[in-house]
Amino acid sequence: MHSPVEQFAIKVLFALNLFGFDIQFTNSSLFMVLAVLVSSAFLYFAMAPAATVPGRMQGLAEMLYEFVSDMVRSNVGSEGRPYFPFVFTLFVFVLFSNLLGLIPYSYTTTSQIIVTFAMAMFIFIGVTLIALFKHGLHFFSFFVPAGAPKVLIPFLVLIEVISYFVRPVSLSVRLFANMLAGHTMLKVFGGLAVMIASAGGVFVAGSILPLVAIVGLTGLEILVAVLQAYVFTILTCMYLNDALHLH
Amino acid sequence: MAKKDTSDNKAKAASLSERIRQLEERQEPARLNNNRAAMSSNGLAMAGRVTTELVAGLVVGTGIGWALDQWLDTTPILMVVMFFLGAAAGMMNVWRALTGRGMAAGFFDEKRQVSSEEQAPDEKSRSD
Repeated sequence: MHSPVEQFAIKVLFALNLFGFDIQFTNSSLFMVLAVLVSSAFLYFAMAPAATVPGRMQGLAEMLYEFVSDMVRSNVGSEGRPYFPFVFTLFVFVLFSNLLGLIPYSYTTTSQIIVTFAMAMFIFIGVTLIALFKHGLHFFSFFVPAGAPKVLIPFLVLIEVISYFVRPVSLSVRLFANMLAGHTMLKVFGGLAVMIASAGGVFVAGSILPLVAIVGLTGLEILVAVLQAYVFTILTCMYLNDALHLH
Repeated sequence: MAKKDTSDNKAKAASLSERIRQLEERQEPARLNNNRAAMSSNGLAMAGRVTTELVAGLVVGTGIGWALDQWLDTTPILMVVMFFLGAAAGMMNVWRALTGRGMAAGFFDEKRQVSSEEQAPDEKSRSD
């Protein structure tokens, strides 16, 4: 019997030694590369006809573009336009890694906390640098809540600083935990179906129940995959908004 | 004749850009209020956010306290103190997320604060 967490195991596909650095190409790296290739190919071929009246695939690609574009416009405003390519790439990458992970026998890169944490740290540091370059030392007034009693200010500033450093953690944990929990749940129900069926006789009929549950859960997982990509991106937009419009 | 035409076009272009500016001005308040609507419209996304925000606050606070303890050799005082501060930070983030203040630390826009405080009580009594 397979363990439900065996699906998250990292397997080294081939190891490289580049200039003394040990670089291992794992199944996780493979699916990151695949997410990039599949999303690029999708956008390239969907937009290839470039018709005035879009077909199905072109409509899908345009919807994706407009969805992210609206998200940036409504959350960051016109100052967010220069950051649109980054936000769009982020959304498409997370979305495709999540969705590719739902294909049987594939691997979900976003179920590894180091992957989501690396992305969240990049966003966190980037957004902090943008705020520092744009506002200079005024940025630190961000941590002082307006209208607070003077006695409480050192205490409140400490809490504000902690809650600022919570950002990358909550951003990465949310995506990672959702993907990990969903895939573990699917495997648990799958294992249950096999176990019931292996009891033989009348019990085989009982294995239909977990199978039905898997069908429902797969639908839910597709929703979660899209939703978490959306949440990850919209929070990035909000952080960017804070950095650009400091109060 | 041609001269008159270009000046006419110029006037037209000026009035057009003026109209565009006015339209954009009108859309600006909609953008500010959008944050709240965008996040609270999706219950599932909100629920996930609130739980991770609470847990992450605790974990980060305790983690910072633990690291400081290792460094300053004050085990376990700072870890305990930072545990409570982390919990406070987590709750503050949850409160910010629920009141639609975005995720900004110390982001208190006075105008928005007043309006959300006015709205918050009766909205709560209706929805809860």
